[in-house]
Amino acid sequence: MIGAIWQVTSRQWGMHRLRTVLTILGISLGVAVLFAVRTANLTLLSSLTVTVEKLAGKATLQVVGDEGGFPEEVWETVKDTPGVRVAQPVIEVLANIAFADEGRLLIVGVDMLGDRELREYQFDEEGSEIADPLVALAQPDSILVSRVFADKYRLADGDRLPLYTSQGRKEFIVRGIFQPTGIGEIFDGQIAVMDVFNAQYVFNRGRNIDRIDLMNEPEVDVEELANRIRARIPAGIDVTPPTARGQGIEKAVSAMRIGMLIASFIALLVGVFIIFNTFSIAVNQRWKEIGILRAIGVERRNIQIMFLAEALVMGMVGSIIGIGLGFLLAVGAERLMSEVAAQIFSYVATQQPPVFRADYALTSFAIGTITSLIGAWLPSRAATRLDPVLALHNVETRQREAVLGPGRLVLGIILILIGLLCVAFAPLRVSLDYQFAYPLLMIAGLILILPKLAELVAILLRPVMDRLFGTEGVLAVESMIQSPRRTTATVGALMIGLSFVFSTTSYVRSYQQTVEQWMERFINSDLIVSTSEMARSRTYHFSEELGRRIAAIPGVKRVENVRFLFVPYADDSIAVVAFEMDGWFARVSNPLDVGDIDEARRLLIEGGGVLVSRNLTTRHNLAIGDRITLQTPTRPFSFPIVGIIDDYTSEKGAVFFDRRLYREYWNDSAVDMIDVNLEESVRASPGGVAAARDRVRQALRGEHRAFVYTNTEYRKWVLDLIDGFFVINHMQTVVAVIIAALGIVNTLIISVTERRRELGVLRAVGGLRRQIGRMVLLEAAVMAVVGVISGTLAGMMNTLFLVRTAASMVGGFTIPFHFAPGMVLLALPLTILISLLAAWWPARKAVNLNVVEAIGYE
Amino acid sequence: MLISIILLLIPLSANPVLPPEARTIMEAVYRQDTSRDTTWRAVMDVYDRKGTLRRKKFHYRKLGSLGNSRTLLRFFDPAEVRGVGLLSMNLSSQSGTTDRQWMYTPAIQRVRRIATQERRQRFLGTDFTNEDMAERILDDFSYRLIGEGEVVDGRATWKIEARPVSPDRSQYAWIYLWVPRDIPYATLVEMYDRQGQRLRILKASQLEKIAGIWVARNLEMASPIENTRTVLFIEEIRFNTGLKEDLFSQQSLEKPNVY
Repeated sequence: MIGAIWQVTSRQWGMHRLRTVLTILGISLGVAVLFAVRTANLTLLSSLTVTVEKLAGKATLQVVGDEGGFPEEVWETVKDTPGVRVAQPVIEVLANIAFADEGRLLIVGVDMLGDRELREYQFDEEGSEIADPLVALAQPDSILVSRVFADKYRLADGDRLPLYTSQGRKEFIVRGIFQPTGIGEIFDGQIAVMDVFNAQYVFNRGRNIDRIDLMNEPEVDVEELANRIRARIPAGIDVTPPTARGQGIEKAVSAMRIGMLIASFIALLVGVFIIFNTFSIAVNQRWKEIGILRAIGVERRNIQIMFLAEALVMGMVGSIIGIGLGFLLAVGAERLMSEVAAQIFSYVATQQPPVFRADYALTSFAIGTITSLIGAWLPSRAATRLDPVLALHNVETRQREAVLGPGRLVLGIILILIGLLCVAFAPLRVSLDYQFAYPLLMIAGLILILPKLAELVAILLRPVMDRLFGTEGVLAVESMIQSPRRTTATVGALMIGLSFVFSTTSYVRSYQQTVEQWMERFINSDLIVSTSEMARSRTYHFSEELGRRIAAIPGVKRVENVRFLFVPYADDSIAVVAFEMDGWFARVSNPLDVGDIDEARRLLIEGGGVLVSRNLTTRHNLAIGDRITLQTPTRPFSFPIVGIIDDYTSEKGAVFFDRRLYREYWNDSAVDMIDVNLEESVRASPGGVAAARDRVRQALRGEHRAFVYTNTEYRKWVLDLIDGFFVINHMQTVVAVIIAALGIVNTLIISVTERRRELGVLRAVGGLRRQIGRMVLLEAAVMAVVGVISGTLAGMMNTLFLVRTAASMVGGFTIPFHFAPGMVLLALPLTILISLLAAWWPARKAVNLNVVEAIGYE
Repeated sequence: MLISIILLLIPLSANPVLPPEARTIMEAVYRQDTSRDTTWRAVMDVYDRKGTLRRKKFHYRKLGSLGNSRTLLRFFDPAEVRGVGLLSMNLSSQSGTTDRQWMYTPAIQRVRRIATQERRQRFLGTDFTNEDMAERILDDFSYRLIGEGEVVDGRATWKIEARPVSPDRSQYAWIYLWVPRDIPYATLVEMYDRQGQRLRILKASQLEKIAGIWVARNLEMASPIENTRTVLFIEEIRFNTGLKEDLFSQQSLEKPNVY
């Protein structure tokens, strides 16, 4: 029996090759995106951890503080701890070279006298040493570069290498070139080594170091040694194995990874619709065939097995292709993710080949296959419920009966309402997995009411279509109404694809708008000088001297130095922003959202309290008067919260206090940003601010790698950065739309085949080829309109979920809902165009129907 | 600093008539220098495998005796290293010898403690390793007389094999020392690793007796495997000039003109 059924199936596939291929392609793309994202995530993690591990060399433990580093005296303590075999201080700086391309160079500051005990440096010339180690140590301009870097910039031993340092542009002398092995492999060879004390000097680290890499004596247990060291060093500094540090970096970029994974599941969801679509229509198309099979004694169960087996095979084939395709996509995705990791989080990665994980492949395979079965489940069930007698009845009538029951409508509305209520009222502590169910509930509800929605839209469109396109327009609308199952599947796929585009874009816009309002309120200096064209530089900082230099430029009234870094707090990290409170308060009219402004101003300026972001209070259940306690390299920092502000500096929360406090507790004078305030006369004069910006740029040109923005430019730059962060999500939405477009092609091909008889009759009663073609195209256009309308509804619901639930989950803050109608207006013609393009081939097929054969069809 | 160089070259003062025990010969080597303090001016030539010469000149001061000494070395030529100082303190106690070394770099006005845990690593690019530079005490090795009458540079010598008491604390598996019978001084030293490879050869020449203390003006350390060598020539040497203790402090180290 099974063999006979398989024969039926294979014959169907042979007859509908294109449909089969498109369905498999839909699954493939969904699986490819999912597999690519997971593989790229893994590869990125591997690239980040390889960097950490190669940098760590043979170190078994690392002593690490927060981003500000810690005093070098800790090195002495660690070095003298019994059981420590080797302990070496490290400073890492991602600097830029002062050649035309201003390429990035990871500079690792190490103790050149002893570092080779820990790290592998293979020098050129058959392993010879640095030409003159004493000179290399004695001269602060000494630098060792990798062979890859030397070749790229045609550098030889003794050549000059200009670099932008915290003290401005400085020329270094290449005093050694090491091979691209060991440390030379890191950051794809864009790496240099200099003496740690020289690095402290030129990169304004004072007497601080970033970390200590150490090796234990063989007879000493690593964990025991870690505890021994912890007992001797200040509380804010931790001792961890290098691998743990890699995991820490992974945690930092987790927001990006979660976003991408969600996006990839959406792409797969669109794939489900294609399967559902294909099988729904296949069931209808093969109604008569099923009836005959049932009539000759094939059991209901076997009919269902037949369809599910088809879905299984398609799912398996699609998944295998998807995994292969995904692996190729992963290469590009990883590059993009590395770039985002570098731009947003300032982490460098050492390019690694994509890691093929069998378990990921198996999971993706299983997800692709199960997804296919889920997509085919309802149609296959419908097939089993067929009364063989009804098999001879009109197909469309049966479809209407099956699709438009009132129960379905009610259930759909209920699901949407539950989803909306959950988004509005469910507490945040509900687990992440459950929270992701909210949008799914809403989407499922929308799908259930979609036939009714399509009917309503069609009724509204009918007079418009009549007026614009005459009979063909009306027939197109009628055709869509008469085939609700087919319409639902196609429009459903389109709806999900578009809803994803709309909600992602709306979320980004909502976020940007919120950040814009926040910046308008808080970023109020005339010019902003930043260390990096990226979100920030974790390792490269200005010196206070630069601020003094800018202050001396004509037209500058006052400069304020800002330090921005992440520090550990309650098993996570939070942002610390230290700036000159008196200047800030002088310019901000009402900065506090919670707290007594006068009291807060006094305490903050005096250094007797801190401001915190609202999301920090939400995340950690804090209120005014509570103390924030941070471990610093010198002693515990503990101050009361005197004000709360709505702030979007970090999704992890932020603490703000006076820079003097930071300097005192962190023993660090580094500057990440300089706020420049201009004389009133300069601000008032037309073009005065831009001219002042140019003067600052001119004064720093060639000397400092500094990015000078006017207030407006700075805000735009921040908004562009947000866009950059979501670039991968945008790309995934494109894939979702491609999958949805495939669905349209699939549906219309099926539609034309299914309606061969109807189209034949139309031709027989005098319908012109042109009219038939137009009718098919117009039906596609109408479906696009319904898709955009339903996509808009779904997009709004998704956006609501993102700005309320997802933003709260990830960032601890909610974002005001903002849905851009302009985006829908833009999407409408584009979607119609895509639909028309997708319908072109089916329309052509319809036009070329043989009238006699078509009438005899079914 | 440069303690072990001196140590290996301290002349033997034992009675050469009867063949002494190896340890006795070495005790004499270790105890030969009776000076309170030493002052040198020296030239150090480092030749790489291509024969390229890098020359440095320095002043060297030592205060105290073996096992309890302090040294200050200050480079004065070439200009790139002028003022670079190295301070070393060697203190012996019942728990062993403690070596502490600091380096001062005038360009960034910083004193740093030098990590010398990796004993086989070359010291500042010379042919001397950190182990060679650290102060050894007599008890670090066990000695065996393995040859009598071998002639080195025209002098009959005792050939002594020294093996580290704690093999894991030395890069060398054994060391051969040739000590002239008439001058208690190790004029030739060969150092071997566990594979039996001859890692380094130290030759001392131009021996002079100054203020009753034997001194080799010319010392050459060669690394035959790497084909490099370092030649140290002592231009001027004085003993017991009354050096003060505070010269051997971090404060002094930070003054590039103090030597």
